[in-house]
Amino acid sequence: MTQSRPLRFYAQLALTLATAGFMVVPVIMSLLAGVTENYFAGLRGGLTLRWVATVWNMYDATVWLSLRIALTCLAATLLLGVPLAYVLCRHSGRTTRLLEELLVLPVAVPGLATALGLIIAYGGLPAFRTSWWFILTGHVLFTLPFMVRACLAVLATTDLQALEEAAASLGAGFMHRFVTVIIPNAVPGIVAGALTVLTLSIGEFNLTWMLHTPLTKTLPVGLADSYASMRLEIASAYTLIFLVLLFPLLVGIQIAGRRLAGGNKPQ
Amino acid sequence: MTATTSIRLDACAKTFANGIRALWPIDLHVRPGETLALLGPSGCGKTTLLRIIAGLEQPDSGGRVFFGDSDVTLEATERRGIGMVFQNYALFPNLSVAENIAYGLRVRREDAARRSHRVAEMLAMVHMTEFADRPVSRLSGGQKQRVALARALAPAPKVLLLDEPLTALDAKLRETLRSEMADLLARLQITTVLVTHDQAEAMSLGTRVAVMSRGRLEQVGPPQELYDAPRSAFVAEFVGSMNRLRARLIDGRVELGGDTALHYRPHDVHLVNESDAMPTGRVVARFFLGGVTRYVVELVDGQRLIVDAFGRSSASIGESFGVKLGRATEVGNAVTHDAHLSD
Repeated sequence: MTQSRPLRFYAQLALTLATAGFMVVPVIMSLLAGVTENYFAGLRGGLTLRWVATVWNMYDATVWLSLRIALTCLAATLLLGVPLAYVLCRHSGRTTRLLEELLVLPVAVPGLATALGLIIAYGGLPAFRTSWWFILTGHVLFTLPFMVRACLAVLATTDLQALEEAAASLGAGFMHRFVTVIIPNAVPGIVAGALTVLTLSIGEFNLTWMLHTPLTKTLPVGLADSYASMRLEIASAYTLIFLVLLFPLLVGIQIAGRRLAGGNKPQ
Repeated sequence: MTATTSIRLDACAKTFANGIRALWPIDLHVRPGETLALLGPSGCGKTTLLRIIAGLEQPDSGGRVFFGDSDVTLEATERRGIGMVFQNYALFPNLSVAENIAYGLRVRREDAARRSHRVAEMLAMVHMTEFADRPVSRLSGGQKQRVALARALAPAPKVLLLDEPLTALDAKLRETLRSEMADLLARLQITTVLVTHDQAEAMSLGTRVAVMSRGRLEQVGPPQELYDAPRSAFVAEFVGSMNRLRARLIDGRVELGGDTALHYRPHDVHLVNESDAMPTGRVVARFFLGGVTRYVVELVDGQRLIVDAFGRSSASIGESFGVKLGRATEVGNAVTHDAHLSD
């Protein structure tokens, strides 16, 4: 026999559903707007992929550029962030603490200010200034702390020194230890960091708006453009493409992380 | 068969960056195939000495570490050909039992067939065959200890280093694994250095025992020599229990008091009828330990002695006895701390 649930359970359920609804409804409305003939007529006006096709024809370059920047940014933050987290974890001194604080500065400073700094510093290098590498630099600056922090949080809970010493006693040199001991034990942090970096980079607007040129427009900049100058259905279809693009990437990273971690369960 | 080697330390001292001196210059020789137990209280520098042998710490300048005739002082740990068991085992949490044991073989690029043969051999040696595919996070403390030992031995190291390998286990399991390990070390004849603060562990596993105190070697020798002929009061009191009685022997009679001290092991002191021996004393505490009962006896002048009575013994607290002193233990002159002790 099931016991009847207390009133508090239903009150909590209602509150949870109301909160979830409050957050999800605008997304659903926006997505629906992207596939309706006429937003103001609603679903009665009929469904169409016309707006999606229009967006794709007009803005496909922004989608590819955003993807390229996000994936390159992810690669860069992995290459820089994981070793950096390792160094910060293994050598916790005054200098490394200062470095850790400095690293967070680009997150604390408004994106526009960071962008301005980059323009002042490198604006004189036209080839760099007008290329997508310039936006990438901004994105790496902004997202690197998230990768470092996520890895550091996981590494700090592992007795890295003991594991490394054990591997060394078994004949493993530094690179071997890094690949076979440090990285597998940092996987949960790497996955968390990768998800954050990817979503932040694809959706980054502040910095990118300042750094872009007409030839280096990313998805969020294009989205702002379409909101400002196109009909609502087109902007909504653009949002739909954005979500469709992001969702498989995020799921893919989680699955890859789970596979990589293998038997890596907390002791 | 393992190609084993001797270990020699020449003037190995260690001062850490914060200025703390962990070791004074130490000379030590470990013979090929023997097990040397480094015994001492926590903070005496025994683990630092082991880490110097492993290459995980560098000795201060002037210190030298030799494996056989080769000077390995500047060799990195991974090039020394050692096997090491850490206090908390340091098993790789992302690998299974078999993968942990195979790690050192993979590093040496052993082919798959040889690797799986060796892993199976090691698993059988430590009675863990049925746990081969289990994640190490699902092992008990004793099982982890066995895997750590198998992992260290798999690549057939020249030297085996054990850092408090049984400390993390409960008393009963410690006893079982101690005897398994003693069998294994005797069979393998691999040069082994064992660090422990447990004298029973040191004495049952060590061919020789090196007693350390405050960064110095106090005495190195076979367990019985340390027990019967301690060279310092520290060794006498750290290895086994020791009574220090302020008294003199005059024509076989004991005269209490004075500045000289006589040393007696608890089993060399016996409780007899009050009229049969001098001095006399009163039992102030009694601990029944199974095969032995330990008494604390207060003598007439207030000095206290520990007395071990074997078999059934029923003296009760408050009862008075004659104290018959057996063989006194000769405790050598206090060893000067600047001396370098070797075997």
